[in-house]
Amino acid sequence: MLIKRILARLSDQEQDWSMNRSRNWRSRLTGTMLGQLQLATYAAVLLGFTGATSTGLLLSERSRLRVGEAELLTASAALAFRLESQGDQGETLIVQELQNHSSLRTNLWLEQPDGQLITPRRDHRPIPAALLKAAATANPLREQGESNLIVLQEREYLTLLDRRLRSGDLLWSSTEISGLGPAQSEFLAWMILIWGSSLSGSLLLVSLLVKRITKPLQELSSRSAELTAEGLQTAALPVPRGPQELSQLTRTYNALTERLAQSWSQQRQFVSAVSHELQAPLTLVSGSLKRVIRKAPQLEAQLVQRLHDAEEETIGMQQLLNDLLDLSRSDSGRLQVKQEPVDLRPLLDEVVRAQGTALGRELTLELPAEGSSSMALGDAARLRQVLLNLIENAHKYSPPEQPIQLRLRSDINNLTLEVEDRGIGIPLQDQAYVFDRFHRGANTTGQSGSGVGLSVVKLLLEAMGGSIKVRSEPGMGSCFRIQLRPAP
Amino acid sequence: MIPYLILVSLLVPANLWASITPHLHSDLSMRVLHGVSTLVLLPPLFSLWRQRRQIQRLPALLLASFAVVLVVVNSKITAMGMGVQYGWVDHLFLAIACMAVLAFYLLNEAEDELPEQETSTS
Repeated sequence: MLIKRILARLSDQEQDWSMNRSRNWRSRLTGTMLGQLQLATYAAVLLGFTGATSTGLLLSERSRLRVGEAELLTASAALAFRLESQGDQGETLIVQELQNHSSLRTNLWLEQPDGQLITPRRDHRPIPAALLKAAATANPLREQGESNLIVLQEREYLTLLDRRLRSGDLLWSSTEISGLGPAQSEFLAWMILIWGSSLSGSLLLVSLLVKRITKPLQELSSRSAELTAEGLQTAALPVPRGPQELSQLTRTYNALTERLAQSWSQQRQFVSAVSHELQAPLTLVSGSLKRVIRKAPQLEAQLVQRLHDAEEETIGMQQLLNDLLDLSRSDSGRLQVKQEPVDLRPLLDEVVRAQGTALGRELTLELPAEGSSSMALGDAARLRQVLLNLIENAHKYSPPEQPIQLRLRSDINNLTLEVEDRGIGIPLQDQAYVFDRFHRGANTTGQSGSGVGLSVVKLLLEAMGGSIKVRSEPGMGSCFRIQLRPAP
Repeated sequence: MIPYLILVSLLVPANLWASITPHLHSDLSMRVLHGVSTLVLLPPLFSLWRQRRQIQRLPALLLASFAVVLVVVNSKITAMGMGVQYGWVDHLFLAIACMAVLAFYLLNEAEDELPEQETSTS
């Protein structure tokens, strides 16, 4: 059982390893521009090399046979002319003629109608008997003009049955064609050497060229990935002195970032102007509503309630406009946040008391032991704004009966402030973007909101030198943890 | 894997040369060529079996049958040595098989899809 488990484990590991390797080689070869071009270069050089060498060898092989055949035809024709022009001769004369027309490589012989062979008599280099037999076996029907390639003891011979003479004898000839083998081997060796050099050179050249092309592209890609609204003004890239397409792409990218920067600037100006313009009428409307409620006691209760609702909406709009103005000021570098000692205890007491009453919800506060420091470096008004924002957020997304907990913890280096609720929580996929502008969680569709509040909270805390993090579990609640610098 | 593919690609011209010029190679070099050409046909057979549910049936069946026949024939030739009739045709088929192996590995997407499916079934 144990051995089976170990074997199964090993098999799984081996499979994972082979899969990873499989994906790795594929991505190296076909997943990058460099890999694809190297593959294409290798394929092109290999195809060209294979085609060239194979064609060269094929032609050389054909030439070898054709040259040998031509040699045999010439010798046979000369012998046939000689034998037939001299009429009937004795065997001795025929042997002499065969000997005269044969050479060291080329041999001629006659096959008489009864199957007897007449060969030239050469003591120093006779025709191999095996060759005579193999030639006859290769052409059993005695087809005239048929040539055959015969291999004997690693030597190659071309045999030809040229014609039947008037005497009825068959004129055979053969020549050794082994001599071209070394030449072909040499040709192949040279081709392999040239191919290897060409391939190395081509791959090196392609790698260099591709790197020259991909470097600006990678730079463009990384700069695009890092691009933020704040960095648009300085996002322009130097135009590379490479291929025209790349220079054009860089110019287009630079023009695009310039247009985006312009558009972003106009948008900021628009938001700032609108927020400013709307603030005055909203303040007027809010003041008027308060005055009407206070000075018209004879109004119906239902009408008073409606006026209260309108007043609350107006306050909400004013808060939104203030947030937008803060964002706009931060973008243009005009956000003013003080850096002064703030005692968090009275601030938290006041916020918990006021908000508990205003929201009609239980707010609990945990403070550190007496004597420990609660002095933070920051802006009291802005810290109040941050706390109100977080409490309002917690109130909006929590059931009415659940309390909101505020905790202050103090140590030597940090002051930590937590706002915890037991509300709907933040979905996991939204947690990374919860402080982004206009981002709202996927589970907040039933609630009104603009998605600006938390981004302003983060902005203000960072301006004070602090930070904020969130820990949340969907359905269980969220905890926002603020870190502030202690006052010296 | 890349060295394997390079080896397979080099076997294409080697088998073509052997097919065109049978007189150029010795018995030993011929045995080595047949042996190596047989060995490189084994990984695709293994891959074809492993990916039998992902890949197209007909081309896979054709390639597998072709490779199996060549493995059997060339194992015999490697053992027997030179002197096989129509040996040049065998070299031609080996060159074609090597090209098919290259095409199989370079064009086959099933190898990438396999791990995901295995994860989902485990």
